[in-house]
Amino acid sequence: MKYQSQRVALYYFAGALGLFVAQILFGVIMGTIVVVPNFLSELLPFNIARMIHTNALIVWLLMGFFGCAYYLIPEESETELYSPKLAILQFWLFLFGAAAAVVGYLFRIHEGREFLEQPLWIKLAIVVVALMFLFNVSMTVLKGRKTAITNVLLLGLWGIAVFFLFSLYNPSNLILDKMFWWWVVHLWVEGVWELVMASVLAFLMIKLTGVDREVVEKWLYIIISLTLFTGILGTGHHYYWIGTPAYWQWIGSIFSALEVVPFFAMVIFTFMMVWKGGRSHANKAALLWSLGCSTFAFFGAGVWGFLHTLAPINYVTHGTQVTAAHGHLAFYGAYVMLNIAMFTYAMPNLLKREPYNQVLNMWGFWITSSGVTFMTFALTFAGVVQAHLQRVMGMGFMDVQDQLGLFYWMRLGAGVVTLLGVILIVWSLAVPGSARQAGRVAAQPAE
Amino acid sequence: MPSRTTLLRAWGLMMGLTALSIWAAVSDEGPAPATAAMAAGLFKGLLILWVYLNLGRGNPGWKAVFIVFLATIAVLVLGIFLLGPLVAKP
Amino acid sequence: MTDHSEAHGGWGALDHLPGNPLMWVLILSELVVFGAFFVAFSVSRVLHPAMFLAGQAKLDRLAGGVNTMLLLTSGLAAALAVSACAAGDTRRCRRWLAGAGLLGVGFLGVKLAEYAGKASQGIGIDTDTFFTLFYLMTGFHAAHVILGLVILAVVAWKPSLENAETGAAFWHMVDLIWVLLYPIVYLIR
Ligand code: HEM
Ligand SMILES: [Fe+2]
Repeated sequence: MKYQSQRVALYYFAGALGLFVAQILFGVIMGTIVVVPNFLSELLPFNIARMIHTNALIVWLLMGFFGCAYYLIPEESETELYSPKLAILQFWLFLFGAAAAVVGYLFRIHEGREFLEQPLWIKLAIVVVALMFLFNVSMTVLKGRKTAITNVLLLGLWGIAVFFLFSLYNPSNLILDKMFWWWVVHLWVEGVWELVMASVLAFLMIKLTGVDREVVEKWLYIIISLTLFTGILGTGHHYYWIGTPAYWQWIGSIFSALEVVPFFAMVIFTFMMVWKGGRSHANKAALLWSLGCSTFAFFGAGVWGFLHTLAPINYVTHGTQVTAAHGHLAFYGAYVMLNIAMFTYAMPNLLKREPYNQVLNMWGFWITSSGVTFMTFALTFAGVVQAHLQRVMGMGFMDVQDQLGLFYWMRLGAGVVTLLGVILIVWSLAVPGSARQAGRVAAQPAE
Repeated sequence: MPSRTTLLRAWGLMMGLTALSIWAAVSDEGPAPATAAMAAGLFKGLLILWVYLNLGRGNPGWKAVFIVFLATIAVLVLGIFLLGPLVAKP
Repeated sequence: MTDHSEAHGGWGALDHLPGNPLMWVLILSELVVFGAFFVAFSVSRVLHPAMFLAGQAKLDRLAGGVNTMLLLTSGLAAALAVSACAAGDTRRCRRWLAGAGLLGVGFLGVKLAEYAGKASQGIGIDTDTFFTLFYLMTGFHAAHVILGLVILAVVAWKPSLENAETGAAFWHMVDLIWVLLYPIVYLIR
C-alpha cells in the first residue's frame, strides 16, 4: 500500500466477505430444500432463497470489484483517490440498497426477472452508486498516471454500468425481454467483467512476479481483444430458442466456441509470468489464488461453457443441470477467485499485518475449490442424465427429477464443504495471524 | 518490399487462375472442377500472403502456420465435399 | 518486414508480422471464424445436398468471379501503396490507397446488385440453411470490406509506413477470405 486513500477498499472487502458467507449459506439452504422439499417451505420458499443466493453473489462480486478498483487505481495512478469520503458514502449506500432488496425479497417484494429482481427504486439507487464510483475512479485516473491496466479496468467498469442500464428496459414482448436481459447477463460476465478480470490479474502479476510492465501490458491488450472479438457476438448462444431468428444458431455457436480462447490465453499468461518472473513474493497465497483464478475460469467458463454452447448440443442441455454446473464453476473460477486473489494480496498490506494466516488461507483455497469442483461434477452428471431422460427419451420433468436424488445429495455435501472452506477464507483474512506463522513464512517487504 | 514486377506477376497469375476456375466450374461439376477450384483458391490465398503481404520473405514459423491453416481448411472442405456423401448415404 | 517491425518489440511471435501486432490478433481471429464457417458450410452441404444444389444454382458465379478479380486488383493497389509509402512517396501512396478503396466500393456495388437480385426473387436469410449461411458468410465478409474501406481512409489520412502496413494487412485478409469463400460457396458443387 502506498496511498492512504487505498484504505477505503477495506470497507468493500469486508462487505463483500460478509455477503459471500451469506450467499453460500443460502446456497446450502437451497441444496437442502432440493432434497428435503418441505424444509422451510412456509418461511423461505425456494424461489426467494434463490433470489437471495444469486443477488448476494452479484452484489458481493461487484462490491469486491469496487474495492479492487479503490486499491488498484491510486497505486497505478500514483496519486491519492479523488475523494475517499465519497467512496465511503458510496459503500454505505450500496450496502443499504442490497440489504433493502433482501428484506424486500423476504416479504415477497420483487420484480421476478431472474437476477434483476430488484424493485425499480433499488435499480435506480444502484445506478447512482455506480455513478458515484465511476466519477471517483475516473477523476483519480485523470489526475494521475494512465497505464494500460487503469485504462482497461476503467473500460470494464464503465461497461458494467452501461450494460446495467438495460436492466431498466423491460419490454412486454417476451422475446425482446430475454434478448435485452442477456445484454446485462452475458455481456457482463463474458464481456466487461472479463476486462476487469484481465486487468486485475495483470496488476497482480506485476506485483507478485516482478515481470516487466511492458510485457504484462501486451498480454493484457491481446487478451481483451480476444474477449471482445468473441464475447460480443457470442451473445448469440443465448438466442437459439427464445424466438430470435435461426441464423443466431450459427453466429452463437461459432463465436461463443471461440470464447474459450481468451480464457486459455489468461492461463498461459499467468503461468508464463510466474515462470518468467522468478521473483518469489512473500504472499504465496495471493499467487495461488491468481493462478487458481485463470485455471478454474478456463475450466468453468471455457471448458464447461464449450460443453453446451454449440446449438445442436444446447438443444438438449438448455436449462438443465448442465447449465447449473457451468454457472457455478464459471462464477467461482473467474470472479470469486479473482476477488479473493485481490483481497488476499491487498488486505495484509492494508491492515499492515506482516504475519497473516497465509497457511489457513491456502487451506481455504483447497477446501473451497474441492467443494465447488465436486459440486460441478455432481451437477454435470445430473445434467447429462436429465438431458437424456427428459429431452431424448421424453420422460416427464418430475419423473426425471426423482431419478436425480443421489446427485442432489452429493451436491448438498459438496455445498457444506464449500461453506466450510469459505469460513476458513474469511477467517484467514479477518483475524490476525500468530507469530508462529511469521516464522514459517519468510518476511519480505510486501509491495 | 516486393518489387512492382513481382506484384504484377502475382496479380496476373491470380487473375488467370480465377478465370480458369470460373470456366471449369461453369462448364462442369463434380470432383475434378471442385478440386481445381479449391486448389486455385488455396494457391491464390498463399500468393496474397507471400507476395502482397510479403510474408514470403518473413518468418518461417508464420509461413508454416499459414500453410498448415489454409491447407487444413482446403483439405477439410474438399474432403467433406468428396467423402461426406459416402458417409451420409442412408 | 523484419526491418521496421523491430521498432515494436516485446510482442513475441507477432513482432514478425508487418504492421500493428493487435491488427494481427484481429486478422488471425477472423481467419479462424471464417474457417469455422467454411467447414460448417461443407458439413451442411452434405446434410442437405438437394437444398444446396438448388441454392447454388441461384447464385451468380460470374458476379462472384468479377468480385474476386476486383478484390485481387484492389489488393495489388494496396500492396503498391505500401511500397510507395516505404519509398517515402506519400502522394503516390495516397493515390494507390484511393484506387484500392475505389475497387472495394466496386466490390460492394456488385454484392449489392446480387443481394437485390435475390431479394426480388423473394430470397432472404431465412429462406433455408443454404441461404442463411450464404448471407451470414458473404454478409460478414462485406461488413469487413466496409470496415476495410474505413481503415484505408484512415491510412490515407495518416500515411505512416506502420499505418500503411497495418491497413494493408487487414485489406489483404479481406481479400484472402474472399478467394477461399468464392470457390467454396459459388463454385464447388
Ligand atoms: C466467467 C464467465 C462465465 C460465467 C460467470 C457464466 C455464467 C453462466 C450462468 C450463470 C448461466 C445461466 C444463466 C441462466 O440461464 O440463468 C450461463 C449460461 C450459459 N453459458 Fe455461461 N458463463 C460464463 C462463460 C461462458 C462461456 C465462455 C461460454 C461458452 C464457451 C458459456 C456458455 C453458456 C451457455 C451456452 C449458457 C446457456 C445454457 C443454457 O442454455 O441453459 N458461458 N452462464
Ligand atoms: Fe453467455
